Amino acid sequence: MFIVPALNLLEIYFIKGTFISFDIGSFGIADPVMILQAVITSASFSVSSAVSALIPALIAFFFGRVWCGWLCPYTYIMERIEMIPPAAEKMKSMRLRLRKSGTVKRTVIIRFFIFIGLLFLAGVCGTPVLHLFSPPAVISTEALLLVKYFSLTAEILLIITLMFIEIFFSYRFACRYLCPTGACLSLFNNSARLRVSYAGSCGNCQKCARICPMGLDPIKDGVNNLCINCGECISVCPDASLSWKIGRG
Amino acid sequence: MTFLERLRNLLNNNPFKHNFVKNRMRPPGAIDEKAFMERCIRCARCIAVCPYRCIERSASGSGIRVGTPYIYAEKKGCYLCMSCPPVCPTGALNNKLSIPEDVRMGVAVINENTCLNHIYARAEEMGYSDGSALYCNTCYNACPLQGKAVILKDLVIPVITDLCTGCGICAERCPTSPKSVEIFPSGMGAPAGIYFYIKEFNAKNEEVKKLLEEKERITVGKEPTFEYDFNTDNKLEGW
Repeated sequence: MFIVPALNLLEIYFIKGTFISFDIGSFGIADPVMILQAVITSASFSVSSAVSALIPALIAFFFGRVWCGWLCPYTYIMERIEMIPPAAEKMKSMRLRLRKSGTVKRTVIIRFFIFIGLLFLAGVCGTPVLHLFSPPAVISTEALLLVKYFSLTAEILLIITLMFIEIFFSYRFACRYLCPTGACLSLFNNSARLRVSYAGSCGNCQKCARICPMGLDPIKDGVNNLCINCGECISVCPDASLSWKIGRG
Repeated sequence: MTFLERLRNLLNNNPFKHNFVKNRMRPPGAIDEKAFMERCIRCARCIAVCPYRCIERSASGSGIRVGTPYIYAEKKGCYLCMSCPPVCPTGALNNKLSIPEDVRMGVAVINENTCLNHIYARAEEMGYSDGSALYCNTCYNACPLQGKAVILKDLVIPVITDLCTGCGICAERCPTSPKSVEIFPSGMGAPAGIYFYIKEFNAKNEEVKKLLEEKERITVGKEPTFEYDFNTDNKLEGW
């Protein structure tokens, strides 16, 4: 995320922009939820923006929320923080507490209420405000400002607050509840072609359920809105009963 | 007025959408401020692409406008390289705009009291100088549309024409302090566009102010007493 603005400083404009929207060559890619809220607030629609939003939507449609699991800078930062010893113990215990019966379903519901609430807020304000709530958007724009102007704006407070919440109170709060980008992408998750599948027999060691950052049990709810396709459960599985699967079902 | 209409009025005219500050423009190609606020998703692509670092992200304290791009003319004007309009993903900047002459970010207005060239002209007229007169011409020389947007009347007095793009380079370069050239951004304002602000800016002395007030009070006359189905303008402004 620091590379793109640095390249732009060197007057290389092949890739330009932030994670809200960027160009590769002359090919525009934009966050679908941001385009959606612009459509809501301005009550107008343009083909080029719709096309640029379509690409991540298609990626989500075929590969699930790979954006969240593989690319999102916020996920990356939180994973690094989790490796720091003092934070690690606490966060691990919080992660284990996540998985109680009913939690998953409740999380999905609360999350969509928050998502719709935020969209509604954008509509009421008449201005797109979701960028204030989306951690990857804030991180990438702040990175841009840091590289280009050596300054930050107040939006970075969101990241600091979220980190605080996640380290001390609620594990992966942003990814599981708040992030509108993730919520929008997970709308396509149920039809994702790339998914974690369970072979049907295993020693029931529960390692996968313990490692899952979203508090899922891959055996029971392999296909879920919350799944970010990070593949942690597959790599931790001792007898290969969990695997990637391409295609429906 | 039904509830729905009232709600619509309240939401569409909310005070967050209008905000007028001198020397602070939207990037070139920006549509009307209200529509701009609805469309701009704060993706910072225009900021990323600006090669001169003119476009800045509005910081905290700007309320709901936080994250939107601004050009601060006093710090750095826009050099009209036209690389930002095509990159806007939502059309908040007019994507089709590519000719620098077509940009209308605002209008430059020269303060006659502090402009060095004006002082020079006055000094020449009176026949003596107190030492502050200077044949400066900075705005004329800095203007990217030299000889079109700024012309020198009688080879001394700079005059801004309708071709002014509002790029703000003259305001950036103006050597006086405070600046003698100020940019009035277009499309930012509540009452009657930028010319309202220019009028206020020029209304320095009491007489002009009084005349302006009088003009505001002038109405077109009595409303007709019979039934009519046409609209009447009550203000002189619309004529």
